[in-house]
This record gives sequence, C-alpha cells and structure tokens, in this order.
Amino acid sequence: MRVPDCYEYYLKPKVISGKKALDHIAFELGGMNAKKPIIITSKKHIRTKLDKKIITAFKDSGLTIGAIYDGGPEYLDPNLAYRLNHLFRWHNCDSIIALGGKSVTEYAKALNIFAANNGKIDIFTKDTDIIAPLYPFIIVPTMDSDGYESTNSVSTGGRRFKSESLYPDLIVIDSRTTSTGTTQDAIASSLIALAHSVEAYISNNSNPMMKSFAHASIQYIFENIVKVAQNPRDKKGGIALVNAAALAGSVFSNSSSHPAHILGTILSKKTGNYAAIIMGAILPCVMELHMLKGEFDGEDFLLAAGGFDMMAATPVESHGLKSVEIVRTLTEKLHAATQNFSAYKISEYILRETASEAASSPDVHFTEAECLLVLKNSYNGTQIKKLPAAEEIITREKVSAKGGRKCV
Amino acid sequence: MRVTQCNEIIPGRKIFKRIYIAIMLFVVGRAIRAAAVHDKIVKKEFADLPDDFAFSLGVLPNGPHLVMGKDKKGKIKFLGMNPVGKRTTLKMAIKNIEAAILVFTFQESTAVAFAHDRFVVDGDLSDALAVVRILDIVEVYLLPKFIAAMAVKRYPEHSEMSLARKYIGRILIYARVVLGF
Amino acid sequence: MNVLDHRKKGLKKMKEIIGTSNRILEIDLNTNTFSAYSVTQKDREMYLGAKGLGLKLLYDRLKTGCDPLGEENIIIFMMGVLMGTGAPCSGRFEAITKSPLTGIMTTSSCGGPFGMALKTSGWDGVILKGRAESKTHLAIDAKGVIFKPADDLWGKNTRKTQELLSKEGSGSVVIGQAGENLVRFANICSGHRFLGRGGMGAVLGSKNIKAITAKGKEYKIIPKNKKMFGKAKKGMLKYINQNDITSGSYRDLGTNANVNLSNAGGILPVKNFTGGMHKSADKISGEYIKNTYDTKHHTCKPCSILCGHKGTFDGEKRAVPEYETTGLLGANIGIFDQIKISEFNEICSEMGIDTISAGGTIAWAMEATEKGLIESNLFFGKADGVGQMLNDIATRKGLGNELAEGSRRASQKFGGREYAIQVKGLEMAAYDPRGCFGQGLAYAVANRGACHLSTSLFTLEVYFNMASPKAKRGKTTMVKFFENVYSALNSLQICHFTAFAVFLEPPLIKYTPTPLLKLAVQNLTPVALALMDLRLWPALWSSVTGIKLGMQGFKKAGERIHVLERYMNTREGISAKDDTLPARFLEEGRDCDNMNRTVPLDKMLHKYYKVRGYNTNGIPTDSLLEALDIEKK
Repeated sequence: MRVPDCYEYYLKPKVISGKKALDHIAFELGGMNAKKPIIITSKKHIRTKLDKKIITAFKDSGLTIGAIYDGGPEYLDPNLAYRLNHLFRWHNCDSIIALGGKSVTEYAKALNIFAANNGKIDIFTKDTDIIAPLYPFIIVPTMDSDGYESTNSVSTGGRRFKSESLYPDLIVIDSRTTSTGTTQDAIASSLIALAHSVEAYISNNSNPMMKSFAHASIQYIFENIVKVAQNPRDKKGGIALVNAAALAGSVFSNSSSHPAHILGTILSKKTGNYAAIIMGAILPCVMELHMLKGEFDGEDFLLAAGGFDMMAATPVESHGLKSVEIVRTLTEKLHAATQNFSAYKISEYILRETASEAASSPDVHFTEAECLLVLKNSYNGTQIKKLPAAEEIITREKVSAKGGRKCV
Repeated sequence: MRVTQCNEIIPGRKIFKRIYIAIMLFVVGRAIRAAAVHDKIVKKEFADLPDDFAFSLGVLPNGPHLVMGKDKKGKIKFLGMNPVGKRTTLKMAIKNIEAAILVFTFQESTAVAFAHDRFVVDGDLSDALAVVRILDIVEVYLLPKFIAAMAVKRYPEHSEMSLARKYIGRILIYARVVLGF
Repeated sequence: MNVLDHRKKGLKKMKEIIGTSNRILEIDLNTNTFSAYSVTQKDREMYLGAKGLGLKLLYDRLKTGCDPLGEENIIIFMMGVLMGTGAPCSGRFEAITKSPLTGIMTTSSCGGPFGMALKTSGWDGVILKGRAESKTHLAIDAKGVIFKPADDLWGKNTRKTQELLSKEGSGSVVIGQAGENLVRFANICSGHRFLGRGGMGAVLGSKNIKAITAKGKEYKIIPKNKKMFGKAKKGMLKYINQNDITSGSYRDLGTNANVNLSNAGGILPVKNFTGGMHKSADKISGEYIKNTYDTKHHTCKPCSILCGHKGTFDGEKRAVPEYETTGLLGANIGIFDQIKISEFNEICSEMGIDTISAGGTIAWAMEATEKGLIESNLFFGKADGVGQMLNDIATRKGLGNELAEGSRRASQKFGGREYAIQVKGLEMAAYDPRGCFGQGLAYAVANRGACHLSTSLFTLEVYFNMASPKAKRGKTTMVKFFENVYSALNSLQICHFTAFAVFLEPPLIKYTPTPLLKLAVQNLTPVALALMDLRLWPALWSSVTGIKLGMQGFKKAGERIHVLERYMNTREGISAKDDTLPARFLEEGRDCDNMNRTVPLDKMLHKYYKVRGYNTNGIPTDSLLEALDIEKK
C-alpha cells in the first residue's frame, strides 16, 4: 500500500450497531448530559411504526421525548427548520435524534444549526461560520440511508455547508430500523454508498484510514446487496448494508473527489430520475477513467469486492480491469431489478449541461470533456477506452446575411 | 404534521421486565452468598478480593440493583437491593433494561455482554472480572446445563466440577436462597 | 364612377384557393434556401391541420434528443384549414417546436394578423430548420421567402419592430429582447397577441430570426362546400351569440370575468398558490376594470366573441391584461392594482415574455427571498422591483439571468423546489388545483406541462358547477375526453372559447337542469360526454376541405394528435415520474379550505393511464399506437 506523504483523517461518530442498539441511546444521551431529545423522522417511517420502536427503546430510561416531528418535505426548507427550532425551544429539548435517511438528517442538522446559533435565519444565506458547539446529535439510519447522514455537511438548495461540528455524535444501527425498507431503498442506498466508497478508495488523496473504511464498506455491499435486494427483511444483511453506508459516509467526508456523486446528483436533479441508478452506471466509467489516467490499478480493491479467491485467480496486471468488471456486473444485476440508465432517454444536450456544471465543482477533478466522456459512456453502457482529445476551441466567423432568395 | 401539533412523549416503564430482573438479581444475590459458603472456588475468589470489597450490580438508570460485600470478619453478605447510602468499591451496571433482559434470559452470556459493551464498570477491572467468574459458577449451580451453557463463558467439564459437587451444591444453594439463611 | 367603383378598380383581383393550398414553406436557414412541401391526403385526414399536422411534420423531421436552442431544433407555424375562410373565431394559428423551457414538445396558439397574412399569401405553414448565420428577417410572399438582414431591428421591442415592419406585409411574428437573449420563456408576438408558452421566442432567437413577415392579401380562401360551410357558420354564430359567456361576460368583461368566479371557487392563486381566495380580488376583476378603466374592444379578426379589450390606465392606453396575467402577475404576487398589473403586462408584451411563466417564476423568487434562499428586492405585495426584474429577465441581468431560466431550473440551483409551481418545467396557470381535482390531474398529465388549456376542466368543476370539484369520480374520463377534443380544436383551428358555445348551447345541455347534468356528468361520465353534440366543428372542417369528417372521426383525430404528442415526449424521457404536481398541492392544505384538502393525484393517475391505454409508466403502448395509426419511430 502506498504511504502518503501527508494526510488527515477525521473520525468522529461513535457507532453502536447490533442487537438492542436502540436501547443504548438513553445511556449515551446521559453521557452527553442530555435528557430530552427531539426526534425528526418522516411519514414513511411513521407508517412502518419505527417511531413506536424508538419510544419503546426509551421506556424505563427516565427520559422524556420532547417531540416527534415527521412533516418535512424531501428537500431541506430552511424555513421549516427555523420553525422546528421554536418547537425545540418550546419543549426545552437538549438533543436531536434523526430517524431516517438523508432528507430527515438534513432537517436535523439544519435544526441543530439554528438551535445552537440562536435561531438566526440568515445562517443559510450569508457566508457565516457555523458556531459550535452544536447540540448532541444522534442518527438512527434506516435502509434508505446512503451514508450522507454521517457526513460533516448539509445542503440547502445550491449551498453546501461543511463543518466538523456537523458530524453526528452517535450512529445507532439496529435491525429493528434497518429491516423495514423496500428492495428499492436497499438498492438505491447501497449504490450510492458504493459510489462514495469506491470514489474514496481510488481518489488521489486516499490514505490508509480511508482505504480501510472504504474496504469494509465495499466488502459489506458486495456480500449483502443481492440477498437484501431479494429479501429486504434480512436482518443481518440489512445491518451490514447500513454499516456500509455509515462507513461510506465517513470516507465521503474525508475524500476530496466525488465525480460519480456530483455527476449523478446534478443529472438526477435535471431529469428527475433516480440518482442511485445514475451513480451506479457512472461509477464503472469513473474507475475506467482513473485507470487510463494511471490513478487506479485495482490494488486491494479486488480483495474487498471479489474476495480472496478472485484476487488470487486474477493476474496482477488485470486487477484494475477485473475490478471495473465486477462493479459493472453488480450494478447491471441490480439495474435489472429497477431500470437501465439508457431507458431514461436523456438528451445529449442535458448531458453536456451536466458535464459543464460538474466540471466547475471543486469536488470533481475531471475536465468538462472527461465528465462528458464519462456521462456518454455510462449512458450508452460502453467502456471508456481512451482519454478525450484536448478540447477544441471552435470559433464561428460572423458572416453577414446575404439578401435575395434561392428556391429549391 | 404541523409543528404546533407535536407534543411531548413520556415513554413509560417496562414493569414486568423490571420485576423479572429484580427477582433474578435477588436470587443471584442470595445464591452468591450461598455459593461463597459451599463452593471452594467461589470462596477462594472472594478471599483474593480486598477486605473492604463490596460491589453493586444493577441496571441503569434506575435499578433494580443488587449489593454484596464482605463484612469485618470476611463473610460474604447480601446487602440488599438498594445501593443508596452503601459504600461500594466496585459498581457494575448494565446500560439499560433490554440489555439486562438479554443477560438474565441468557440470550447473551455475561462475558459476551461485556464484549458487546452492555456493561459499565466503575472500579478495579480485575475485581470486576472476578465477579464475572463468580457469577458464572453460580449460574452453573442455579441453571440446568442447556441454559447455563448459554449463560456462562465455558461450561465446566466433569473433571472441573463433578456431578456430585454440582448437584449437592445446587440443593444447598437453592435451600439457602429459599430459606434465606 | 362612384367611390366603390374606384375602390374596386384599385383592388388587384385576388386569386382563389379552394379548400386549402396544401403548400407549406420549408426554409433551411443554414443554406438560405426554401422549398414547398405538400402533405398527403392521409395525413390531412388523420391530423386535420394546425397543431395536428404541425406535430406530424415535426415528428417526421425532428431529431430526438436535440438541444432546443441548438441548430437541430425545428419550429413550425401551421395554419388550420379554417383560417381565411371567414369561419367564426378562426383567426388563430399554431406554432410547434421543442421547448427550451421544458425540453419536450410545446404547441401554442395565437391570434393576431400573421395567420391571415400567411394563409392569404398562399401558404398553409412555415417550417424553419437550421440556424441563420446572422440576424435575419424572413419576408414571405406567394413566391417564397426573401432573407433580409435584421441588424436594424435587433434590440428593438416587439411594438417597435412591428411598426417598422408594418409596410413589409399585412402580418408578422416578431420576438423581443427576451427572445434575442434566449430567455427560456420568451414568446413570439403577432400583432397584440402572443405565442406565449414554452419559450418559442428563444427558439427563434437561437435561429437568429428576429421577425417573419407575410405579405398577405394575395389569395382568397374559399370552402369547397360553400353551402355546408354557410350552414355550419350560421349554426356556430347562433350558438356564440346566444351563449352567456361568449356573447356576455367575455364580450363585456374579457377573460377577467374569471377573477370573481375563481375567487368564489377558491381557485384564485394567492401568494404563490398558498391561498385560493383574497378579499381584494374584486379590485382586479373584469367588472371593476370595465367600470374603472374605460375599456373598449381590441380583438383578433375575424372574431365573434370579442374577448380582447383595451383600457386607459393611469392616462395611458394599454391592453387590458388577460386573466392569467391578472392572476399570476397580480394576485399570486400580492398585487391587487390593475394599473400595476397592466404596467407589468406592457413590459412583458414589449420585451416578449410569457406572463404566466414570468409570474410563476417571480412568485417563486419572492418566496425564496422570504425563506432566505436568495437575496432580492422582490416581496409579496410590493410592486416595486417587479417591473425592473421583468426587464432584467429579458436582458438577463443579475438575478434576472437566473430567473430567465424558469422556476424549475432556478429552484434546482437555489432550492425551494417544492414551491416552484410548475409541471415538467412549465409554470402553472392561474387555477389552484386543490379547488378542482380534475384540473389537478389535467395539469399533471398535460403534454406541454402545467397547461390549463389541455382540458379547461376548472370551468366545468368550478364555474358551471357541472362536476363536483373535490370528487375523483369520472375525472379521468373527463380529462381524456377534453384533451382529445381540444387537440382536435387546435387542429381545425378555431378559438377555444367557441367550446363554451358548442358544449353549452345544444338543446340537450341547455334545457337540462344543472343538478341533473351534474349527476349525469359525475356518475355516468362516458355516457354524458358521448351525448355532447360537437358536430359543428367537424362540419366546418369538412365543408372547407371537402373531406368527410364526423364527430367520431373528429374525436379520434384529436386522440391521435394527443397521443402522438405524448409519444414524442416519452422519446425525450418523459414518463410517470414527470406526471406529478408540485409538493405544495400534494402535501399542503389552505386556510380557505377548512378540510385542508390536497390533490389526490395518486388515486387518479394510474386510472388515467389505463383509460388512455398507456402502460404503468405512462408510455403509449405499441397496440395503442397501432390502433391510432401512428408509425412508431
């Protein structure tokens, strides 16, 4: 393994995973001097009675739950978070629990920011720092969690806020909350987590800490995704996938390169299609591009994704190609259960717009031409065989219109 | 759901589980006292512990608890179910009632529960490990083999605990537990 | 010799076209060449004309997946067979293209002088392909087209441009600065009317076309069967002149007659569709405008309804804004002053901006400002800043550059998607669907986006009380029926408002008590709709073309046209995920409704697909395409 010249890895949340993990929350809150949490969740999880499971977990703990709120729309509305702050203050809450996936956690993080910064609404409009310390923050991920919950950022509209204070203090993974999802949830969240982990693994600033977590995440996903997709009630598989997502979130926060994530997110926003399917299709092309640029050779990746037997059976010089092949096979197998990327019928000009927007993101270290190459090949399901030519600059000569008519 | 419609929730209690744990702790407490009289290994474990040794084992945050300790003569005494006002050199607590249920319904052995971070220990760790060993032996006496095998780290072989010792010990310990002497 | 003789002497004898010329001018802007194209009899029968034929021509030529602002996009202006015949309310024409706002097909209909000018120049339509090398003005006459430089016109507003071109021909379509700057909801102006929706102005702007003029008055259009035509025309006029709306409220008050009706029915958009009623609504109503602003008729020719009006606002003669403008650049942004609204209307007219999309986008911007997502000087209830923002949108300055992309793209960038009130990218018209569920379904599934004209179901549900607005029963059948009928109407082509006359004046409807009608429409929907007498429309078409077309054929043609458009959209990526409404209508109730109802779209949508013959993903099945004789590409 390469020894980096210099690296940083920030690792914050405590993780409790397994049987009766939910029941540990009260104890952990006590350790953080918190007695009255507010729980943010969504209607989906109320329908599957996850709120009741959390309330049962709090029984006999001596704690009171300040409120359970489930009404937030899918995208973070800072105004709603601002009003939640009033609810937080009204019930004298002192901690926040997010039960659910990305959208729920975004609300919880936004609420935490408002609550800890005296509810100033302009925190999301002006370039101000998020003032720590924030309130104790616990996340309870479910099957639709893709790892973004355990990152150090929150997005509202086009703005993303990043701060180490935004890491959750505790992640609680319990089979009671991870086995109520659907096949769709499992595939979507796992594909996104896979994309995050793989990108972190092959990125330029990869380091041993990042690789270790990414390795575990990738291994968990490859070993469990197919069986959980077939049976979303599989408890062990569900816990493994949510663990993988949490690990992916940690590496995502520490990695500086997320081309598949950015391209997939932008394209999904433009077309309304599932980000997970798009990211899953883009990922192998991103790996191929890194390989062509000499930044990825499949070292150790094959061990995580394919296991020891596959790694041993593959010649070293083919590790990279084999790695891409198994990622492609996995995403194609899962696509068969959902939809193909090309079936979304996305016009080329939208791909070009996406490439242009993505290339201007600091988290994408590809040029616009490279982004477009990745998008086109992943859309068509073809392999990238060579790097794009240097971009041509086209000049249009202005020619004055000629009068008269020509009839054909 | 409108923000103004969210009310406080007081989660309530798990009465039956608390009663069950209390009963189990009571039985274990008396059984430890009895074993300290009849079993030489338990006697030796306690002898190796300091003279002022006293421990509490309970469930956070509000009990039930069990308190045991040595008196001035070195005799092991069951000091009751309430640790308040009692001086203890070792506090062992299970983090929550569900974890306690796992331990006391033998779904997890004490050792496994420790490994799963179900316990919180405040005191000397070597003393805590001694208490765990004592608990294991007491559970072998109290429980039939098919249950005790799940509850203890390693069920003793015949060579380590003969059938006679086990069954005679079991009768004597149960008698002391029931009759309270 | 008397004056009349002099006049007759001065007139050139116009050539006659019997029926239709069947000549479509196909212009290639890349090579500055043109040719004449003729449609087959079969296509004429299947697609009628105007919208239908235009869609078919686009389907045969347009490359799927092309950039709407790129060279490969095609824009088609198509006349109906009724244009030029003197049929009542037939002075409208259609434009069809791929929309830069939505990325899918858009069609728009418009009055004004261009349609008549083009038809009487001997052309049934114009197809524009490619992109001109420099700013161009196309001058069309009977012989073809002359490609003229437009540098002196570029940068001028629509009014000024039309003034300068007034001697070139009897009608023109022009774009304003918004179209030149590729504002995604720029419109095309014809006289004082507009091809409003979908950003057609930007398409022309991307082709470097500032204006198209048609000389006109070179041909007379004569129906093939004059007797039949005369009878149908008389019948239509009779119905128009006896109907309360076409000869009453719309003639007197214009479309702002809808304001009080919408307010009473709880469907007037208020504060970015957060409310459905407002106590000041009467100050912007048609009644108030008539009494306050000295209104006079100002309308398309030949129009028998005369819904267009002009008035004196603040000492200035201005067009009275239509209901949609009053709703979206008025009530929806908290402005209840017609002087201000007419001012905004004038800016949009001169700059060439669609007022519906502009109003919807500005309302989003106001709410986003309120919620701290963006910084602007746009606030609900404050007119200051709105006029300047409309100018900034047209010239793409500052925040105007972002808003020029439409509310969908702006909300994708800044957030606030749940209150960007649009479907498929097209901003919603001024009828809140939480007050009329059928209209909600219609918005969600309309081919070009949140279009109120695909079915106009709000009239049935709220204005005429002929269907229960908050019931789901029968709505899917109603939506399908009216979509088909209006697609056919736009292919004749005849004004939508004739539907009030044709639907409501036949004796069966006119003399049946409303409660009974409502019962029938709600509970026996297919039967009730089948009993509607629509014969006048196909009769007019048949009399002009000489081709037999009955009511069933008319409805089937409408279905074919609608499904073709849907199919073209699905090839661009549209599917069930796009047939939805903004979260506001699915999750938020309103204070004016004490039951806080939201649109139960889920329950209606899949039934609609079934009724339509689409698969569960909203895509027309192969068997449906085959049954409608649509060649799958």
